[in-house]
Amino acid sequence: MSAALPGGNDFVDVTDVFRNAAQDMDPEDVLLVDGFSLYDAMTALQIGDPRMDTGVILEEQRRPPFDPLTPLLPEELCYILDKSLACEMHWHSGHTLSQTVYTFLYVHHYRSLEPDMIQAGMPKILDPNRPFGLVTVVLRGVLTAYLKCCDLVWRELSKGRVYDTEDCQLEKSEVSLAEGVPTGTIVARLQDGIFWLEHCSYDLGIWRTPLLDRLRLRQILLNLFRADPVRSKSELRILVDRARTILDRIRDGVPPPTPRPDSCAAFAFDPYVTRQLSNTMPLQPLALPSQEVAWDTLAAILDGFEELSKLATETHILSWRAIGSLHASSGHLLPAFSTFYNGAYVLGTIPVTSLVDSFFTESLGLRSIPSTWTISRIPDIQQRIIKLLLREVQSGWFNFPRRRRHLTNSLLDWSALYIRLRQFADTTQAHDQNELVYLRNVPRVALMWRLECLREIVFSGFKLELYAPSERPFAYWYLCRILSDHLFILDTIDPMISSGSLARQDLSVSRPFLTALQDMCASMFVMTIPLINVSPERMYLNFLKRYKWAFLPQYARLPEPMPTMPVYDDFVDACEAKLKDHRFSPAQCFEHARDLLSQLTSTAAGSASAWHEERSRFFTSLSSLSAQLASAVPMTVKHVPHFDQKSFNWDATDHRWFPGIQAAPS
Amino acid sequence: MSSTNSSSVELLTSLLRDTLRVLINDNRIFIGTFVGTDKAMNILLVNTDEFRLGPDENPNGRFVGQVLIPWEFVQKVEVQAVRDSGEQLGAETGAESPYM
Repeated sequence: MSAALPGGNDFVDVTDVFRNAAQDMDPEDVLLVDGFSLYDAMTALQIGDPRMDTGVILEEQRRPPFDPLTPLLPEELCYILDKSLACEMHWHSGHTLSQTVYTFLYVHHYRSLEPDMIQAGMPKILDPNRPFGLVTVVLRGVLTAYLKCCDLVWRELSKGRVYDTEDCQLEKSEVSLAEGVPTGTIVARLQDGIFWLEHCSYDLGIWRTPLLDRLRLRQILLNLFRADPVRSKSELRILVDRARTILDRIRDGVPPPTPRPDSCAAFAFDPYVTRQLSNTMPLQPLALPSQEVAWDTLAAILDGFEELSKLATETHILSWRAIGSLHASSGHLLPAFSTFYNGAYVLGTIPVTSLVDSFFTESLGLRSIPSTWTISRIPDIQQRIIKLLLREVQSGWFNFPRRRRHLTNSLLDWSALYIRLRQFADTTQAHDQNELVYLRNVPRVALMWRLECLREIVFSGFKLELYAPSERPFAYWYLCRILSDHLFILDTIDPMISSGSLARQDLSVSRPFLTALQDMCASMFVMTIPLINVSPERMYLNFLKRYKWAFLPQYARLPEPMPTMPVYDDFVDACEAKLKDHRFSPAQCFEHARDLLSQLTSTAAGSASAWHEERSRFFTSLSSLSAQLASAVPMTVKHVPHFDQKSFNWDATDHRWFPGIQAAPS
Repeated sequence: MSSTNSSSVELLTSLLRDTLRVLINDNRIFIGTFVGTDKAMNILLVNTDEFRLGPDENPNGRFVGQVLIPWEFVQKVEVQAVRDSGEQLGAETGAESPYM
């Protein structure tokens, strides 16, 4: 055996031992080491099978060796930069590095572009159409910046604020992302590339400006990815504006032509590179998105950075909750939690314990909490509130199913906090009348936050299409209970909310908004009662399954029952009572809701802050939906059984909480 | 598990738990612990690393874990002459390695 073989020279040929033994073995004979079963053997990856063997190279996948020092035409380099960005954007969309960024072969050869290596790889004949500097200066600069961008994103993603293998793929497959190269060095290399393009004497045709645009865009992306949103909020906006200008210019410009199939640029991307990488699972080659989709993804990332710069100025916990809730409604994902909390401070400088004061002052509309009111400084209360608020803010940027799971899990914690605040308020001597009112109301703050969670949990069941038709009436009935209790608490704390506070502004929105939702839910409850077409036993079992969180044994251990729990018998009574209530008008409920919602579009921003317009659009869409439903549902309860349920469109893509109305067939 | 007790099968059985290096016909080499085979000479290896022969290939290989290599792809099978304990194959009898 040659000395070059892996494993060294201490190997002895035993091929004939296998051949000889095979001749002497019976067909059913199997040799296995002790403790290794046939079942274990079946889990092995079969070499040569393309479905299992990630290393197999089929004939059509063979390609010539890749030489990273091959000189390139300017348009070829432009093509390479665009396609590599498409790979990067595909990784941002949740695919693995192996199937996206690593298919860009220069990633595996960036050290070959180091000056020490270049001397050996210099082409013997220099082609003026293919200036070597395009590779050794321009590509080298942009390549290391490309890797550093991936490295910076990877570092942010690996902080545990998003979920590996769900939201993103962090498996590096033992490939370097230039982790050890200082960002300053990379910035300088990129600047070298820009300088070369600006001043080189070669004729780069029409490609000089497009190449410069791509390098400058990469420079901005590098600065965006390494920026601290809290400290650099104004800088972020400037960078985003500049990036958008360049992106528009690139999209309006001439796209680089597809290179010849035998060119180095065409061979710079190998979708089958996964066969050479260490992966924990077999990975199939992916088709990259079109360049337009890649530019769209980049534009969305820039929008995200602009949003981060705005979020970094939001100091109110109510605003973070409201904005997160709006994003949960739009499905827009943004890694905002790092901006809010860096593991030690809120928004970079605010001690995390200040969240506790904010929790009470903002919810109750107080200007500040007098030092004699000690409730927010009780250690176990502090810890409970901090934990709940941080997770609440984080969940605003979760996807729908995870947010629902999080909210459901937090219900018990909110209940425990409510009980703890009740105990404290009941056993504490108030110093004055104001403190007495305060002490009576602080447990209600926990209840309000819990009711917000409950409302979103039940509504999200519609968005996620969890409910069978027969489960819908219960969901709407339960929502009526939740909204009614919430409105009651708002009325109770109203007198202590100071004028001009954020809570006062929010109250002017939340009271009509919750009332409108209550009207809509009350109407939908009645309208969906005819959907109950299963036996009472089945209904009850479905109820137990859907609201299993309410039957956790921990609730039985609480010293007093929690309000607003789902109770099946109450629902059955409500169904009977509502169908006999001939004064109730489903259509009028929707009309009332429409009127309330249409007035909300001109209310104060309150906690929605810079997202006021987004919230207004939401109110407008809900108002127009109410108008549609008002014109479709019957005026009186007695006509409900004759209503054609097929008129409702339950497609969750149309609206997240209520059905639409099917368009009449043309 | 074998019902056959010929000396050739015993010799093959003695290779179990040894480190094998298997060269297959697409110029890949697998080095792993031999844990089983059958009449068709499918070779079962665990803790296996895959290597490719060629100037630009990763000299450290990549870990592929537990693999089954069908005999149809096998060009050559080798066993590591020095066991993990440092014992030279055939040293106990003072004879040359029985595989050579």
